[in-house]
Amino acid sequence: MLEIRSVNFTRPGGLSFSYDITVAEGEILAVQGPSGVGKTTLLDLIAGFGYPDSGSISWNGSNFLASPPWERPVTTVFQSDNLFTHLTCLENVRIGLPSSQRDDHAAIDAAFVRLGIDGLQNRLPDAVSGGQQQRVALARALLRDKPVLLLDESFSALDWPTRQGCFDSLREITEARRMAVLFVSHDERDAAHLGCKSLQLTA
Amino acid sequence: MSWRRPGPVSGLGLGLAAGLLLLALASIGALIGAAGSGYGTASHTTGYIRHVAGFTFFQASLSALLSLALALPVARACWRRASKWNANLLILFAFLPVVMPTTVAATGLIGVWGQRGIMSQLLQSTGGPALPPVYGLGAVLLAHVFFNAPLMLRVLSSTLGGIPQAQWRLAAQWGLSDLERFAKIEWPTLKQVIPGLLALVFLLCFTSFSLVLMLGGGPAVTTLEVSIYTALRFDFDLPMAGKLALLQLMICAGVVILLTMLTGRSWPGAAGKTGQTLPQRGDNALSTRITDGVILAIFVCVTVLPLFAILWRGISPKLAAVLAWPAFWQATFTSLSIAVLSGLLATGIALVLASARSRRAVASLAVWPLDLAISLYLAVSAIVLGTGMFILLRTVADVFLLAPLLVLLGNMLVSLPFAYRILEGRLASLASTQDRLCAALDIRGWRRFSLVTLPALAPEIGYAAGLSSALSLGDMTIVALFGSQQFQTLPWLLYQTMARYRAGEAAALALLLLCLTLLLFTLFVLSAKLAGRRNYA
Repeated sequence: MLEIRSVNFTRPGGLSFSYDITVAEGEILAVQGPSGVGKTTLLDLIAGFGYPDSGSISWNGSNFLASPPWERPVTTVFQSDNLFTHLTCLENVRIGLPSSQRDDHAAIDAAFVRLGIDGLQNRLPDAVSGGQQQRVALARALLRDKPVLLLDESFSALDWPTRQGCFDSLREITEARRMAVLFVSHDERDAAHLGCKSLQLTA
Repeated sequence: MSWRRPGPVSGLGLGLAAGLLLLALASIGALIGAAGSGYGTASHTTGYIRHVAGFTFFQASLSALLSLALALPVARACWRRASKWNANLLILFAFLPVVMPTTVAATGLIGVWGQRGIMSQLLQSTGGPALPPVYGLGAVLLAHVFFNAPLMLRVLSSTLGGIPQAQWRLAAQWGLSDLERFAKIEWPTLKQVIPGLLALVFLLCFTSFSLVLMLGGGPAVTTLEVSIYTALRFDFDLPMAGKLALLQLMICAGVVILLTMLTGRSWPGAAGKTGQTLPQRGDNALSTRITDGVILAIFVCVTVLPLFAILWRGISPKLAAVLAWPAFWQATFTSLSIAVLSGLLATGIALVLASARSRRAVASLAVWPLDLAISLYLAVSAIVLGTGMFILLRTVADVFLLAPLLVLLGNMLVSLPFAYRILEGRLASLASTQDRLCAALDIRGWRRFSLVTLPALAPEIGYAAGLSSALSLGDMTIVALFGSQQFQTLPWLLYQTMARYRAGEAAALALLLLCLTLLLFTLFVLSAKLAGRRNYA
């Protein structure tokens, strides 16, 4: 279980945010709210790109606040800049995997098929659409096998039918692997389609 | 607490920066020592220094203003008549002077404007008189405009291209006249880059050596750089050389500070993407077309014709004669060895320094020692550095025996700021887009450098190495101090051939040197591109 307990964070400008959230294994939580209420800040604190002033963030009882981003049980799909432009889509997936998984071509190919991007493996990111780039990043995130998945408006570039397909895959994998997923979204249809809880952040 | 850590490259960079600072300070210390060892400041000495400094300042200011006076209307005319075809031509002609050796350019200018040049022959064929010899202030200004107008043109063109499309649309809708368009749309953007551009070109012309030496035509037209060379090599007047070098250093440091204040860390450079030209009121009027035609013709005469002159005069029977000279092959071997080594060393050191800067910047650590080490070598021109090294080493070793090493070191240090700026900008932009992703994916250390940074940086590494080696291959400044009959580089051989009035051989040598420079530059750029394309596996 992902537990965010009494976390307080103050931005350099003085704006403060407080969080108290729990996400169980196999659960998806949609984080919603207007701009500037701290949705991305929440993901940054969990991923290790920001440090709270107080509180704790733990996975199954183990506080990982002191760990750097690469040692946390977390994987993130950012809003943009998820891919290295000089590497092909396949290389972009492989570079983010642990060495033991890099040559598991069957699993990598299956992830491409599952997310509807099969055939794009050897293309450079600039040669595929924004939505396809996001799905390559999602494929990598799912293959990384971390228990906490953070999605920062990762599906906003996709058209609705494609988004629905990705959500179906996401729900299936989340339940199968018992992952805890937090995803930031502006579209209320997302949470409805996933049938998941949603957290409305307010200023 | 921060997830951004500077890593070991930060320490390595600081160590290198300390070494560079120490070397520069040792050279400056030697100059101060030599300057103070004279017989006091005789009035004739003070008068001479004042005259030389005044002339250097005057010619550099005039060169910068004339370059702008040519580049600005050409940039506007090119923008009005923009097409893919002339945009590519513009890039080519604006790029060539960047890598062209100054000695080669001097032969090209003589080939066009000299007594037996293209223009003189054209005039004579129409019954007119031959042109006078192309030496003196006019020739120096012409040469400086040849080198710097294309640089300015490139920056100004990309500045015009960077003006938002909406503003051009409004101008077209409102039917603004050419003058109104310039005042309301173009000038507010152009005025942001012009002061920095003028300061940069002033600095380049202030430290110009080979062109003044070859085209100045005598002591009346001499700059601080040439006077230092004369004091050191011909008069062996170390106190005078020291004084002149210190004065040169102080003025250059002032200009570098001004340049930094005007432009921040980034020097004026061509921006990436440019917008599309929209037809504007009056663009197709006959008067505008004629004006643009005249402006472009003047630009072609000043900057493009010398290139053709180098080709036209270089391809002659003398070419075979030069290729049979043992001295040519010896100088080619020396020049290429030094250029390749200097390019690789400058790029390697610049890469370490730029990486250290980028890592320290993201970790919010001080970066000024790295910036200072680099900026110092912008202020310390090649001749000042060479003079310092000459004075420093002459008591402990035979400087002429150490010539190859000193030329290599000098060339490398002089091109270091350029290589650093090319790599530093790209590394900073890579850090902003890749830092979080690499941290999230646990791509760190050597793995990150080899798989992510190096391939993404390959074009800039190739450009930096190509530019550094081309600058080294064409440089005549440091070899002028340390060169001898036993140690010659190609530019030095070309200068000596010209000094012996062997114009045909000099033209052939100039063509060969230009081809070698372009070849070396292209090889570096292509190799880096190929290396960057290797598959990740």
